[in-house]
Amino acid sequence: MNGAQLLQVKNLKKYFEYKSSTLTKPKTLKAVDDVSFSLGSGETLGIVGESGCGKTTTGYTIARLYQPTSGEILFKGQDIALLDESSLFHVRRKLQIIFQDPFASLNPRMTVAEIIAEPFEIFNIYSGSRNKTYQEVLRLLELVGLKKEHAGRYPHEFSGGQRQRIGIARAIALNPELIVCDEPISALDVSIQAQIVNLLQDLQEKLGLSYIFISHNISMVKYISDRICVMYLGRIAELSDSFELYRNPLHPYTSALLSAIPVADPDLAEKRKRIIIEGSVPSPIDPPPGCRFKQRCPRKMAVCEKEDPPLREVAPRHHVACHLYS
Amino acid sequence: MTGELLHVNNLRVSFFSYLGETKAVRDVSFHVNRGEVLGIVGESGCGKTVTMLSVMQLLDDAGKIMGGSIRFDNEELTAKSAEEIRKLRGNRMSMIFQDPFTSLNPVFTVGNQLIEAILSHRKMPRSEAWKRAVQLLKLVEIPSPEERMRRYPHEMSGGMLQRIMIAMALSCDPELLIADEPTTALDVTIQAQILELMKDLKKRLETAIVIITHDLGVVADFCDRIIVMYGGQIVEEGTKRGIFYHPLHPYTKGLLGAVPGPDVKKDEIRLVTIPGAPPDLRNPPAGCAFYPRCRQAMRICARMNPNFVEAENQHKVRCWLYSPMNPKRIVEQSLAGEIR
Repeated sequence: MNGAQLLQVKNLKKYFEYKSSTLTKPKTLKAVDDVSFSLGSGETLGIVGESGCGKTTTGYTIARLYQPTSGEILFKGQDIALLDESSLFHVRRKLQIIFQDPFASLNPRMTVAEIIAEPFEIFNIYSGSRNKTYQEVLRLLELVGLKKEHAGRYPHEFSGGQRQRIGIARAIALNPELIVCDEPISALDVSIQAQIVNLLQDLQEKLGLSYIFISHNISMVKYISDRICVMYLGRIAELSDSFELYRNPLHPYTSALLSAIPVADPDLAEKRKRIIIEGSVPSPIDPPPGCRFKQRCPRKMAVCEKEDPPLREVAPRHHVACHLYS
Repeated sequence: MTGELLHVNNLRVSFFSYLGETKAVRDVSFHVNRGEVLGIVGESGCGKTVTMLSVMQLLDDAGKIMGGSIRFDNEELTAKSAEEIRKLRGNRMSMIFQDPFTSLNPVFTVGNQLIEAILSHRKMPRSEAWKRAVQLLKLVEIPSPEERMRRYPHEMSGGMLQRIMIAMALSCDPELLIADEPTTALDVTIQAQILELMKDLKKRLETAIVIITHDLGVVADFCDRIIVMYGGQIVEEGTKRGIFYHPLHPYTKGLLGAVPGPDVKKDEIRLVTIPGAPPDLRNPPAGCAFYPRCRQAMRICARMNPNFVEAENQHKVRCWLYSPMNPKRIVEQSLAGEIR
């Protein structure tokens, strides 16, 4: 499983300027604030957290759809954080993305074949041979579980799950090494979600892909990921192997998050003790000093008010940012 | 108080557009007892929301009740005038919607809207309605309720707004509360808060609750009975334990298997998938709606829709596998008879 380091993210920051009116001084929205992790080849890293925690921004910044404010993104040993567009061009071949909304991420005026063939045209693969390109499109369609007849159809003729398959076919067209999956299943029905997750897993085995799997669905992330990164308000709260995280959550936020998952088992649901955390995620605009989670934390201490806990390795491969473990 | 509060019988609802008739609800029958919690589970387009919108008589112009009866406290709702329905709706039965951000009017304060809901059904001075509204906000555990009354919806978070929606729905002590995906738009920690609140309200009030959801986990906690819908029909109905621990219909089994359990690892167990996609209700299939996706399909499933039969005590299912009319079963039985 764990090959060479494919991706290393070091102290990644992405700030947005936020202006509430033209007269006031712009404020800083710290969407991603000092995030570091690494990803091995063939590995899946899950990023979970509630809306506004910065998980999607992290994914977009790694895929360089955003320019990071600071930090390093080492992809196959090369720092892509500051590359310009023309140098990024070749990196993108190996680093693809699958988007959340399968309805908005496919051009309604292009046929499925045109959508999947576009990467080949951009990189001038098969040097314009339409026949070869088409053969490859058909192969990809089959790989993602669609039929040859689908090639000539338009996106609106497909269901959500099928559209997501088209998006996946486009993402794997150029044989990438890393795919950022941004909430790939959250727009889909339950029975379809499992189809897509199984497909992503099959493709990973066949093609040796690495995934960054971003989702708020913790049960799915736990299932598909080797390691999980829990984010809260732009920071990593906890980072660990997925089973370890589930068995032995250390950060109070992780425990609360895990206990909030509805379980489809009445006896278990009645027996287990839920940790209900009060309030909702505060605004990431000019966050107060100290731990980001302090307002909602059931185990808050005096030190949490002042000092922001750094991410520390407290057990082998288990990192947590919490004063309880320092 | 016991007994039946709501009884829906053979309900059929269709939507008309330039594409023709879409049969969204096809012959649905169920009942809700007083004070019980009923869960309706299904995927998008299965007819679960349309069924309950029909009960509330809130279908838009394109939707039409084509047949069947809806009896609320032994009164037929389909025969009532709009005026009579208005007296019931928000008063004896009320509804919470999926998206709390669009359910409230952005140009009025929360207090204003709560008071409006109360005064439209109860005769009392405004000052008393204000007090009642504050009480309701306390009931749904909103901190500093007096201050919140003067706030506008955009000043509050999704979880807070959903609590206000619940408060509004409870303002006239309804006998029936319908919650349509009340937590789908919310984050998990907020979802847990709202579910905890609803569980608590269930204990304190005598309101019957119908909760519509696509997430089986949401209903595992506090439903008494569960209905599973597919393709505009009820495919299974049973007690909570019956549905979760002893599901009968292949679709219900598929739904339960599609969610990874707490100890499931990807290297060990593959998720159970239901291949294909739900049927197009513009041309509903002649046979069982689930037939094209079913692993246990038989020849008869393509031709005839199975009846909704009681397979076990308090556990009904619409599937040929359990039907006494199942041709395979009849043949086996008659063969066994001959041998004997």
